[in-house]
Amino acid sequence: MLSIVKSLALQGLNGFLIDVETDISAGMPCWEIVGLPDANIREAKERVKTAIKNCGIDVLSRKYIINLSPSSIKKTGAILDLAICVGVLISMKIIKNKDYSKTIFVGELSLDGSINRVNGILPICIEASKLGIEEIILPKENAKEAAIVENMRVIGVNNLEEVINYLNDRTLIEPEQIDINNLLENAENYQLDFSEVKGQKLVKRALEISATGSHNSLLIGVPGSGKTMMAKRLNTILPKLSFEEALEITKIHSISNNLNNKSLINKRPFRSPHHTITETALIGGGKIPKPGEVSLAHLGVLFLDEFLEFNRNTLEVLRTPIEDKKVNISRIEFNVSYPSNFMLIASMNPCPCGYYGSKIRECTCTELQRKQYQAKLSGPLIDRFDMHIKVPFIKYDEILNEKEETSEEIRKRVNFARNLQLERYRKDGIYSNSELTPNLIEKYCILNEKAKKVLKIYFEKANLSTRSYYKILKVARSIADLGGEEILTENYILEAIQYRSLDKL
Amino acid sequence: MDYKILTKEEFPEKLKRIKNSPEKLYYIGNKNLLYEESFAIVGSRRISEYGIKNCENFTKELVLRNIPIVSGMAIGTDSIAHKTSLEYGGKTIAVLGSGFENIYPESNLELFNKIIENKGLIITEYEKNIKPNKENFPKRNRIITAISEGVLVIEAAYRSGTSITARLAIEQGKKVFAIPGKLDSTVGMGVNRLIKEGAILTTTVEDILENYNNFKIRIRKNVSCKKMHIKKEYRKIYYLLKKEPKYLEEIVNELNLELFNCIHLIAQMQLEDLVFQDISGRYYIVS
Repeated sequence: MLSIVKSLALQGLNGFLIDVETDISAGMPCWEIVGLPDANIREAKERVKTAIKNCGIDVLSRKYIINLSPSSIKKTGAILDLAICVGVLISMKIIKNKDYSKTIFVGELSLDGSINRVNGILPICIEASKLGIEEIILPKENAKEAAIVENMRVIGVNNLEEVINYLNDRTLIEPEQIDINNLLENAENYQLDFSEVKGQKLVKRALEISATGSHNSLLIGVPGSGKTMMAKRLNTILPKLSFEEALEITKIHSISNNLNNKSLINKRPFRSPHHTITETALIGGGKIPKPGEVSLAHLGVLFLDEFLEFNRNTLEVLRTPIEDKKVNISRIEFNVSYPSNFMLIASMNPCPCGYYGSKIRECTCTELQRKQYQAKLSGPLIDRFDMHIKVPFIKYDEILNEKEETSEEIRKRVNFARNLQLERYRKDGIYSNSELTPNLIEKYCILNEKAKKVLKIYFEKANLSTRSYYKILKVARSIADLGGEEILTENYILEAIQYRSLDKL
Repeated sequence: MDYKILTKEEFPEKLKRIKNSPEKLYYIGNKNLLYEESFAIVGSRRISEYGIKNCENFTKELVLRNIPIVSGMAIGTDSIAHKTSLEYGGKTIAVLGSGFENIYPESNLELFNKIIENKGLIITEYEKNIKPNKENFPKRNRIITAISEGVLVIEAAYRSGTSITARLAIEQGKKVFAIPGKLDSTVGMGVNRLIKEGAILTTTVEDILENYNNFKIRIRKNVSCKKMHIKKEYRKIYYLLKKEPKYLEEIVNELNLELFNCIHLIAQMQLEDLVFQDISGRYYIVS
């Protein structure tokens, strides 16, 4: 008898419905899976066969043909196990044959009949919902993750027996429910807070500006000055996540098996890959393309510690994700695209030994070594950053008791300035000051006379490139937004210049 | 490069006298300087900020007394000595460790030209195509010490070229002066050892002058020393930074200024070329 059940295959973040057609007929006993399966799916027949047997059901020697359609899409992984198994059981008349056109089955089988978790459930569920599916039957462990999607009956099951009983209407399984508001409410408990950073007023101010305009920033300072500490706290002052944003982040992390049993990622990600990372790991790839660090940092912070230690080529590939805010990975049969809208924060020491400018340890580098080190920063690398932030090493014995601002207080100001930007750029299709194009800069960065003069003097003195010129204006725009002003006055320009100090080296 | 040759016969007496005196010298610039009484300032290439300050001060004081400064045009101490000397209108002699076609370090080419423009002198015992080999530098030090009346050591590591220079000077019967180094600094150890071994402990320029009768009676030259007018609002910051380069955060704390006020002030000072910020983030006075 012929049966058709549905499952879903992912390519990147896009889903495709797969029809699993099973037919059992008399003839030479065999199991055949056709329709462009990969090795993993071809192995499914052994898992399915044994799992059914271990549920106490006899698998008769017949001709089993399983077709995965459409056959033009390459199907990968073990997530089709459950669908194939259910199809076989329907054909064997163990499970009632009813209308399964609005239901999908996702899950990996064990030989004892239990159903194991799979990766990428959230994007699967979202895509299924888009394609008109109303019910998903999936591993219990994945149920919470899937329950976020609205208008979807999420049925979590532990083993094959439960599936059989459920589909034969012998037992009732309650659809998984989850309180989304509650999830987002709890989101704001970051373990870190800016109030833990003593002093460093100027650096905090600079980070506030960079959070405001989503400016990529380079932190320069001696070891122990607190670069990493502050960078790690940056996402605590970024605007709160909306539900849609949280979903977007969770989708990517779901594919990468990065959820740690959480149903929704409700904090902005902070990713800090080691400097030995490969190009592929950074931007994503592999035979079945997986998201890289840039995508895992989507809507959060990508922190590159010891920036100059990274392989030059690795940094080179960062350029496209930064500019396009997404990564396209091409394979012969398909393309996938992952979003990568992150804030880049990098840190470096001022010299090879690290201690140039330190009060506690002497720098042992020669002037030449320092110059060579700085020369590494030239051109394409330095162009990635809107702001250069110097992190001094200062002892804070006396002011240790001074009360520091909390992240929440800083975030209020950032939120205020972000809202101004959203309002202003609504028609222009951008979200923050860092995305301003030269045309838009002409339109939105209006200078008063004094500011023009200051900029002109600086432009001539520092021998600036046009690119640096625009970057100063973008940063000044963010500073003015924090001050709630429309016109850029000279003070905003003067401050912005302080964050462009590498222009002159 | 247009250089001339100075034969052994033309050498000043002080240069003929030393053992392994060079056969001839190649020179560019004002050769008469060789016959004047000059003074050498040497020190580590890895000079600390403390060293830079001292080097500038002592060079300036000597130059104002019309004493030509001799050094080796290497990076670090040598360059600072030459530059400061030029800044105050002094004459200076650079002794190279390579031929004229291989000026080393290349970054000092500008300094090289400036020395010549300002009636200074550049000499080397090496032919034009000789590369700056490691062993050339200690060798040329004997010429530095030979043509000068004495040597002031700014900073030196425990075993270093500078220590060699000091030893050569003593062998040639020249006086060695040393500025005490910081105890916790690697480039302080060498000078402190020199002092222990008998170099003259030098804290003011008087310590040098009183050893040379001819230097003492020299009249201060009228140098048009840059006297710039500092705007009133900049003064506090200017004088703080004059003592020592500082981070903005330190300026704010020490002067009790309002953060934004301070940012704007220092940015304006930068625009007026009064201060600059280096890669570590500290602000310096532009000298």
